[in-house]
Amino acid sequence: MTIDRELENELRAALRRQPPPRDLTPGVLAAVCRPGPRPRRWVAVLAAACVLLAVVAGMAQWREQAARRQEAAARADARQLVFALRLTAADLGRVQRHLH
Amino acid sequence: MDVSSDPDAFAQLVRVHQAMVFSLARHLLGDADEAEEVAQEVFCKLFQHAEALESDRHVLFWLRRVTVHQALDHGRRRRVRPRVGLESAPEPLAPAAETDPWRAERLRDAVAALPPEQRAAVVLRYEEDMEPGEIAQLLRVSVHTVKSRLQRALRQLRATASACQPETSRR
Repeated sequence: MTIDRELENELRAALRRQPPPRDLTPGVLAAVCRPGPRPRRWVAVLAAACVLLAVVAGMAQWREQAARRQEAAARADARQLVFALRLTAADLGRVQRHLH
Repeated sequence: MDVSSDPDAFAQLVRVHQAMVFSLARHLLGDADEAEEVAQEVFCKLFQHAEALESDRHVLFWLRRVTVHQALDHGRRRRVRPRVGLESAPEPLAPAAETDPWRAERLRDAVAALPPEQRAAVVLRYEEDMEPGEIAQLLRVSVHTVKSRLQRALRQLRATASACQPETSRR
């Protein structure tokens, strides 16, 4: 028998299942049947209200920022359009001068 | 498998598995009182989760996994090392035999002194007779990790065991 096999057998013997010194069932049943602490309902309500408030405030802020972003984008587009129109007008003026 | 609404069925479940749960915790913690405490906690958790457990096999797997984690957590919280160090143990008077209770006790102490992950692997392998693959599934690690933990633990235990051999049997 190799040393490892011997050690493994010794371990199996040393770690053999040991029953508890007394039946655990009555203690476990008493523990699970014991009424737990009453949940504090107002804490849950307050927490839910805070979450709701945070969500509503977050959504409002997000909408405001989205509107601001849209407005800024529209302004930039308008500026670009005016600039393009100016360039076109200048080019048209130049062409007209050449024709006359 | 909902036994939470049937106290008799739940009591029967506790009776069937209490030796396994207590023994696992006992070998992982090295203390009977604490093992009893852990076993109680594990069965209370079982009561709360009974609805989600589908079969006897599932219950056994769940109990083993929760017991190992609960016992290791308990051990980490108290941060207590085994009470009897091998160095302080007296020399044996007679050559070691397979059923030598002194040697078995020293081995249990040596197992309790292993790092938690190695201890869990050794206890599941030699107490519960589980294969490395099953241990890997239970501890949620790879089979390679389990094998390497077992090898390292055995190396350590072999060194401890040979240190415990009386001079005559070592020659």
